[in-house]
Amino acid sequence: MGLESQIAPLANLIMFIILVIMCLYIVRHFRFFWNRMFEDQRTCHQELAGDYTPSVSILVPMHNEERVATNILDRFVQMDYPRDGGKYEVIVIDDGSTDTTPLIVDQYASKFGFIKAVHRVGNGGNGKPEALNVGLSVASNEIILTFDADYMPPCDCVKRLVAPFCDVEVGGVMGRVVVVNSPESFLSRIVDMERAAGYQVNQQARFNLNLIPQFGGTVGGFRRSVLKAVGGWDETKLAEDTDLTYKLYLRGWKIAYVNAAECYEEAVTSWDMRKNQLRRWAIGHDQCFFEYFFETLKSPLLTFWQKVDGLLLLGVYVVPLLILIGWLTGILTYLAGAPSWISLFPAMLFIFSYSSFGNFAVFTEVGGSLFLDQRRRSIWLLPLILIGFFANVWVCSKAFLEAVFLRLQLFDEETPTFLNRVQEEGLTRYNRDKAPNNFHGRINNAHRWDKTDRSGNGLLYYNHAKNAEIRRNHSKRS
Amino acid sequence: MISFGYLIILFLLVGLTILCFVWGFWEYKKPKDSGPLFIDLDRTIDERSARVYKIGEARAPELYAHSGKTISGDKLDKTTEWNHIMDEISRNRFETRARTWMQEAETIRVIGDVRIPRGEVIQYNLVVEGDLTSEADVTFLGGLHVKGRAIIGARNFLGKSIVCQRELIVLEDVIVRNCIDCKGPVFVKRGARVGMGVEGGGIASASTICVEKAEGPLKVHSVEGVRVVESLKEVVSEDLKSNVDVETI
Repeated sequence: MGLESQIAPLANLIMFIILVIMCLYIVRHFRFFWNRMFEDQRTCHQELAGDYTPSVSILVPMHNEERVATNILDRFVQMDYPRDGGKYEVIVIDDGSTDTTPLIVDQYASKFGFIKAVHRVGNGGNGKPEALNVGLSVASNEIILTFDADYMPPCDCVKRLVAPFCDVEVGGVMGRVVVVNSPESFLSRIVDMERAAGYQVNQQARFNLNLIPQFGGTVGGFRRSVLKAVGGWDETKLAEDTDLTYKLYLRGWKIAYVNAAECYEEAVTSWDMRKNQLRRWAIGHDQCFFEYFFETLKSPLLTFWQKVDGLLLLGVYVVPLLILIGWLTGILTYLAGAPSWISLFPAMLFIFSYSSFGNFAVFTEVGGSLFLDQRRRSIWLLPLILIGFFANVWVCSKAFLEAVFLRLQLFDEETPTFLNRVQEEGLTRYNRDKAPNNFHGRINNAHRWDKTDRSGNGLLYYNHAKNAEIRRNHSKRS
Repeated sequence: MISFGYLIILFLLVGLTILCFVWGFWEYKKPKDSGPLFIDLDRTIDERSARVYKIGEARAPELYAHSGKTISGDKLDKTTEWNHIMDEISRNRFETRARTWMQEAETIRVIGDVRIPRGEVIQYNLVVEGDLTSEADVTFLGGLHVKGRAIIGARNFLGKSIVCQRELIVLEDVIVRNCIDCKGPVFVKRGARVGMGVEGGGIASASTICVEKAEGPLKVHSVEGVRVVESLKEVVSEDLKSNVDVETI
């Protein structure tokens, strides 16, 4: 029996499994696109936005944010939310900043009574989840919202975000993130398009279809009692937002998505930053994949379609690895010869080329979101997303392997080669005493704040867009 | 030997591929909408379509599309007695097979219909995956989410909000501290007050809102219109009447 005949059946099976998974993702993305474009949309209690105003604490973690701190604090000063009886407070957690961030925060705190400053000097700099937990311990109000320091919410954002909490079934809420500095670089423009698809189409459709809209870590929040009940932000997770999403759903809570609660963010502008960001997301997401896969599958509180969507969402960052395996298996089977499934070859080729070269189902979502946002000329840029896609395949595949090694505790004293390499890249071994039953790896401090070198040009680009809008309106009137 | 046809196909493939990218590079180099997507940072939601009605004002009937159309056969014969629910909760928290369980954050979830006896005080938020009927003088210290139809008995007090997926009937002198949001039609009896707390409040419905003529303002948002009537009996449909004790209405 030749090597070819031994390899072929195994390769055949692998290819088949990967194809089925690919098809599931393709169908999922098209379903979302169809729902967003042609079916009824849910708004989640937005009729009551402004009428229902519970007490709210806004947490803003900061780490060396001097370029953007004033932007966001000004936005919270101008926020259209009632302030009587302490029902509106902004808690800024300065997480060991070494620039002028503490001074800026103190200035605002001394000037405005509803802004509170928390400085973490000795033990600061340990990352966003830890900073948020410190903020949570200080917060006293019913609803906890979080915003990153580079965000710029409009005046109605908080009212819109808290409205869904009038429903006692809602444990968390998520707003829409819009990139403000899209003209800054090619990458920020690509990220802008991905964000548009992710929120305008993907999140909204998941909410419409009563699936699992995801809490994205910022421009959103939770009921304080729920957050406390699930133990706050998990400091051992790199995607603590995804972790919270699953914790809530597996306990019977819902997360509401509010498309109208839009908020500007500054996207990354360099490929190095993007790589770090993507790697952190991918490892964190894969942590959740390992932890919640079977729990999601078995949960009696989720519907069938919620389970399907939940599992596919967990596997989002595993897909690039599958594509990579698909490519390699394809080459192998070609070399080995695989007569048993040669008749299926055209279909396989179609699905693989369809999924591999940028995943056109996702492209459809991007196109749909640009159409809905009336940025139709940007659709021309769609093929260029391929460049980002190939980078994703490499970074996410690598991140998955890192997550597997960490899960299996291969990074240990007994394997110094791995350990050294990992420490060089910023991963350190997690203290088992702190979380004995939890995930075993964590990224060191420097890598937990992944967007610290922002340009701080958000306001500049906003003013540019505002002037363009004024000119457009003027020309329409005339 | 490479044939002429083969060359044409090759050129076509390469040409079409390049063509895909040319437009992208064009837009990148000479952007027409480089962004960002414009969001007015100064926008507020004060100028909304909320209409504050003084219920005492007689109004001509406005759009009144339907009532009770979505009621289906779920009668109250499957009603879970409240005492039974409390027993279940005391026995098994988070028991997944139970019809009732206690979630975190003081929330009870009930699968099936539920009837709450007169004068009961409920200290939890309540999520009902069925219909809910509360008798008179019940106090809900938390909020309510009802996936089916809800009838809130006379003189009930709700410490938070009501969210209902189907018809909601609020009987006389009910006080709801926050707000009401309902997918189906809302019927509000005389003397009911919504939005008493510092959180504010109002009634929103994706269908119609019917209120009995009375004193005092009521803030309402309705997709299909609002109607002020002398008595709710005038507007409640036959379908709804067959499911509800009409005398209570």
